Amino acid sequence: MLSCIKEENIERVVVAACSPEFTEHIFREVLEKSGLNGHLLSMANIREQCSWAHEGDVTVKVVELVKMAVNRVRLLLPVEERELPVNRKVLVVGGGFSAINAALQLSRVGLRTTLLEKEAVLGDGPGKLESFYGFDPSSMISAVEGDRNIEVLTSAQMTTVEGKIGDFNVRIRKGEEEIFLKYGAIVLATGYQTELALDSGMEFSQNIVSQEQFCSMLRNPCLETKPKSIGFMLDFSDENSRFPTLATLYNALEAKRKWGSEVYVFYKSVKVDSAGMENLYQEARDCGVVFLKSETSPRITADNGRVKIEAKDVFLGEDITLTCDVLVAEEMYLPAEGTEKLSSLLNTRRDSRGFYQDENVHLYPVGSEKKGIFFIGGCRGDLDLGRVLTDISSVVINVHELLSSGKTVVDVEIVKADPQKCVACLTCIRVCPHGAIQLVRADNSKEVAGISDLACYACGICAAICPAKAIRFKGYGDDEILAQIEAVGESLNGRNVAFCCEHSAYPAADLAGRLRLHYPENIRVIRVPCAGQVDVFHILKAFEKGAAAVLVMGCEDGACHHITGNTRAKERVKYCNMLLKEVKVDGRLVAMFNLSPNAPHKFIRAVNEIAKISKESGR
Amino acid sequence: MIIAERKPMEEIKQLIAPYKKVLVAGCGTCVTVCWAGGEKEVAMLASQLRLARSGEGNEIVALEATVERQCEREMVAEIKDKVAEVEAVLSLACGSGVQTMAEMFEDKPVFPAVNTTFIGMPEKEGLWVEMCGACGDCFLDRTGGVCPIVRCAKGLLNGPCGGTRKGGKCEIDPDKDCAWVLIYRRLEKQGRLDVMRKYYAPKNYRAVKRPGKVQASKA
Amino acid sequence: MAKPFREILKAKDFVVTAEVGPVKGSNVSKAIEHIELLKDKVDGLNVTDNQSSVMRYPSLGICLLIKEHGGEPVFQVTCRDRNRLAIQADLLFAYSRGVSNILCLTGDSIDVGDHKEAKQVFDLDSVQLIHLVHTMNSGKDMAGNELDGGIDFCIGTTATPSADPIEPQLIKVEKKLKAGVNFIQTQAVYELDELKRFTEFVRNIDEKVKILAGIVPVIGAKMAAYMNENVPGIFIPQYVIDELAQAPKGTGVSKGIEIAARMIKQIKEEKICDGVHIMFIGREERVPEILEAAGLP
Repeated sequence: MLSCIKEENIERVVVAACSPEFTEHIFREVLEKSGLNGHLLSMANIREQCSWAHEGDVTVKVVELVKMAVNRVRLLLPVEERELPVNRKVLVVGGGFSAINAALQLSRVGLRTTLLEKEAVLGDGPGKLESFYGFDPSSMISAVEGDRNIEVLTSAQMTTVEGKIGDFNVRIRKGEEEIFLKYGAIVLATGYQTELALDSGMEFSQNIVSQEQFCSMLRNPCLETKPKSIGFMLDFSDENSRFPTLATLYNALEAKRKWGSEVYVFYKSVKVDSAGMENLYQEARDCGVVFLKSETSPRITADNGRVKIEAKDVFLGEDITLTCDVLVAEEMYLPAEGTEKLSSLLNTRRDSRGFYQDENVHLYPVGSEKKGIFFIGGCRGDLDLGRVLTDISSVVINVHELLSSGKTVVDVEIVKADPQKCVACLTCIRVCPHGAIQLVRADNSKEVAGISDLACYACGICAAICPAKAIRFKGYGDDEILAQIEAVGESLNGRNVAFCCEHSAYPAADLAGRLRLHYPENIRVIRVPCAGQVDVFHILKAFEKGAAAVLVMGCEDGACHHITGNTRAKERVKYCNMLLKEVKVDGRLVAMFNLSPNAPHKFIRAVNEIAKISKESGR
Repeated sequence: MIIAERKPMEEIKQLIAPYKKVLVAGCGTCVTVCWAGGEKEVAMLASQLRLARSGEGNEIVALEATVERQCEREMVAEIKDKVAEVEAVLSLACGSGVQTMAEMFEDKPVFPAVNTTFIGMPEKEGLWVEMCGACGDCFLDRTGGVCPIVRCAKGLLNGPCGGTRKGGKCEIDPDKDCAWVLIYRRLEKQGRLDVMRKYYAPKNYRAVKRPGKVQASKA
Repeated sequence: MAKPFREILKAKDFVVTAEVGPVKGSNVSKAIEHIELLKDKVDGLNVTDNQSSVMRYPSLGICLLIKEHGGEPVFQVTCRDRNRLAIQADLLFAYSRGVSNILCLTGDSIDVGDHKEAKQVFDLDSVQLIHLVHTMNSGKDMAGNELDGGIDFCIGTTATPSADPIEPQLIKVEKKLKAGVNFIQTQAVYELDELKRFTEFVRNIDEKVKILAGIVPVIGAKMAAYMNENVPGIFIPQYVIDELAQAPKGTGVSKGIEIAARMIKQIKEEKICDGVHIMFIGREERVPEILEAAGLP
C-alpha cells in the first residue's frame, strides 16, 4: 500500500475490507508513513457488515458501500496535530484519607499538588473507613506536611472554577483573602457524611450511638461503664451496606475482645463481598457474636435507660425481644455537605443519590464527564477500602498520563465553529456535555463559540444542534454525511439507512457479522461518533434522497458515552416522526433503537423491524 | 431578541400551492437563535416541501438561501439572482424581514413561513419567553425590571388583579407567574417596596404612534 | 324610593347588598323579576359587567331598570372592555339618570369568557378608575377639561382577602384606600379569621371605609372544586368542600345556603365587618332564603 501511494501520487485512500473499529488507526499510520495525512482515509466495511452478514451474492452492496466511502473520502480534510502546554499542578479538594493519599502518590510521580480543605485541620475522625484497616492518620498527615511537592491550604474553599483541562483557573477563598491559582487537573475527595437511619423519633443518646461514637467508646481508656450487652443494626435501611458490614463486624469483634460483652447483630443480609470480609465474619462468629436475621426492621424502644429491640428471627421463626445497654444504630451514607454546591461550581452531574459521579458506566472508575476533573473515595458513594485504594491509583495514573510531560498532543480543530457564521446563540455552549465550548473573541473581536481542542471529545452533538450550521466537524460533518446518503440514493429504491453510533450499534453490527448472524441486505450503515450527532436535517435529507426508512441507533439509556447524545437523538427522532406526518409520510419510517455493543441480536432485530415497516409502507 | 415560530405545515403548503419553483429564505440573526428560521430550518423546510410535493405527484423545486439579516436591503440584495429564478419566496424571517424582501422584490409574492410572536429571551434551552412589549415608554425602573405590559396578562400598572392563583400564578395560566408577584418579590429584595406603593397614572398608549418611526441623531 | 346608598352606609350598622346578573339577550323580564324580589330586602343591588368575560346585557341597562322600579343600583364597571373615553362617557350618562353608586373593578381576563379572540382593552386599571371617578366628581375630565354638569359618585371597589401571596394584594388595597373609596365589597370569603385580619389591615389605613364581606354560597363539592380551578379570586377551603360532600344527594343548594347563612350570622354577631355582599348568580330567587336563615334584616 505504501509504495502504491508514493508511486502513484495518491491523494486519498479508500480501504474496502474489514471493520474500521480495530484497523482504522493501523491504516492511518500507513498513510502517515507515506506522507499523507492520516485522516484522508475512508473505510468500507465489506466484511463484518457485508459478506459475513448476508447470504448469497453481496456484490451489489459491496459496490454501494465502496461508493459511499469514495463519496465521503473526496470531502475529507487533513487533521493536524499540535502540542499544547498543560499546567502540571493538581488540585486535590478534601483533607481526609483519600485526599491525603492521592496527594502523596501524585507527589511520588513528580506532580505538585495543592490539598484544599475547608476545615482547619487535615484528617478524618475515628470511625471513618480507613481506621478499620489500621491506617494511622497522623503519620499520613506528617508525611504530607513534610512533602515539598504538596501545598496545604486549610480553612479554604473554592469559589469559582473556570477553564478546562490543562488550564483550570480556580479562585480560592481563605478567610478574608482571595487567591487565584491555576491547575491542570482537579481531583475531588470530599468524602461523605452519615445520618441516623432510625425512625419514629429516635435520636442519638447515651445508649443509641453511631459507629463513629462506638469507635470512640472502644478507644476511650477512661470509659466509666463498659456496656455488658450491645446490639448492632445492619442492612435494613440502606442496601449499600458494604461499609456498615465492615464497621459492624470490626466493632463487634473489638467489643467482644476488649470488654467481653454480649454482642448481638440484627441483620437483613450480611454482605461479605469485599476483601477480608468473609474471614472477619467467620472470626466474629467464632468469637461468640450472635447474628440474628430478620426480614423487616426491628422495633426499637427505650426501656429504663436501656434499649429494647424486638424482631422476628427468620431461622427460629419466632419473635424475639432483647434489651441491651448500647445499640449501635444504622446510618445512611450521604454525600458530604457542600457536594451539591461544588458540583454546580464545576458544572458536573451527580448520581441518583447525590454523590458526585454520574452512574454512566463510561465514567468509571474515577472520571467525570469533563476531562481533567476526577472523583475518588467516599464522595463517589462507594465505600470500600479496596476500591478507594484502587481509585487513588487510577486517578494518579490518569493525571500522570495527562500532565506529567507538561504538554499534550491534540488534534487541531476537528470540530470548529466558523466565526463568520456563528451568531453566538450560546446553544452549543449550553449543550456540550463535556463543557468544552466557551465564548471567545474572534479576530474581528466579535464574540463567537470557541471549541477547546484539549477538552473536546469530538462527539458532534454541538455540530448537530447548531441552528446556523456554523460548526464544521471534520470527517462527520453535513457534507460527509450527505455524500454518503447521496451514494445510497443513487442506487435502486428500497434501501434503509442506519445511522450507527460507533460506541454501540456499529460494534454490535460487527459482532453480528463475526458470529455469522444474518439480516436483510438492504441496510446501509453510516458510522457516526454519537447518536447525538445525527440531526433532523440528516434524517430528512436521507428521505429526500430516496431512503426507504431510517434507523438511528445509539447507546442504552444512561450509558451514552457523551451523556446526553442518545436522549437528544430520541427527541429528534420523535420530532422527525411529526415532521414526516406533516408531509404525509409514514412517521414509523424513522425509528430510534438503543443497544449496547455486545448485543448483535438487538441490532438484527432493529434492522428486521425497520425492513418490515418499510415494506408495509410500500417503499 | 425577536422570537418567531414556524407556521403549521398545512398553512405553508397552501401558500405555495400554485407554484412550482420557490425560494426558501432564512435569516441569520434572531430567527436563527430561536431555532425558527436559520440555515438549518431552511434546509429542513425545503426537504419537507420536496417530500410533500413529490408524494402528491406535484414536484416542487425549492431553492435555499440565508442572509445575515433579512431586514437589511444591502444583505437581501445579495440573493437577488436566486429570487429572480423563482415564482415565489417563502421567508422564514420575522415580519420585518418578510416586508423588506417584499419591498425589494415587488414583482414576486413573498410569503411568511413563520409567525413573529414577541421580543423575548431564552429561559432555558429551547424555551423562549416574552419580555418586552415595545411600548415606547419604558418604566422598568419602577417594576424591579419586570415588564407588566407583556408579562401581566392584563397589562396592569397598579397590579396585581384579584385573580392571582395560589402560589402567585397568573389568572389565565397556572404555569405562568403573576408578574406583579414577581415585581413585589424583586422590589422587596432591593428594599424598594415604596416604589410599588406609589400610584401610577394611566399609561400613554400613544407613546409610539403606529407605524413607529425613530430618527437617530446624525453622527 | 330607596334611600341613597351613601346615606345607608353612614347610618346603618350592618349593610346588606346583593347582585343581579344580566342575561345574554335583550329580554329583561327575568331581571325585572329579580329586581322586584330583592329591591326592598337589601340596601343596594349590584349589577355585574360582562361578568367572567361573557357578553351580556349591559350593567348600566339593568341599573336603569332598578332605578325605574324603585331600587338602589350599584353600577359595576370593569376596565376590560372600554377605554377611558367610553368609561367617562358612561359615567356621565349613568349619573344623569340617577345612578350614583359605582364599583370599580379591573375585570376578568378575556380567556375565561366566551369571546376568546377579542382584544382586551385595560386602558385603565381599577386604581386608576377610582382616581378617574374622583377627578370627574370634582368637575373635570381626565384630560383636564371642565365638565358642563358634573357627577358625584359613591365609590366602591373589591379586594381578595384570601389571595396567596397576600402582600402584593394588600399593597394594591392600600393604593385603593389612599385614592379614596367609600366601601369595599370583598371576593368570596369562607375563613372568618382571614376576614378579621383583612379588616384590621384596612382599618389601620382608613377607619371610615365600609367593608362588606363577599358571600358566595357553594352548592356542591364538585362546584367548589370547579370554582377553585376556574373562577379567579375564589379559594374554597377543604373543610367546606368536605361538609358539602357529606350532604345527602339533592340537598346541595340548601346546604350551601345553610353554610352561607351561618357565616353571615357570625359576621354580624361578632361585628367582624360592616356587612355582607351576597352573590348568588343564576339563583337570585333564593337570596331571600339566605337572608331569612341569617336572621336579616
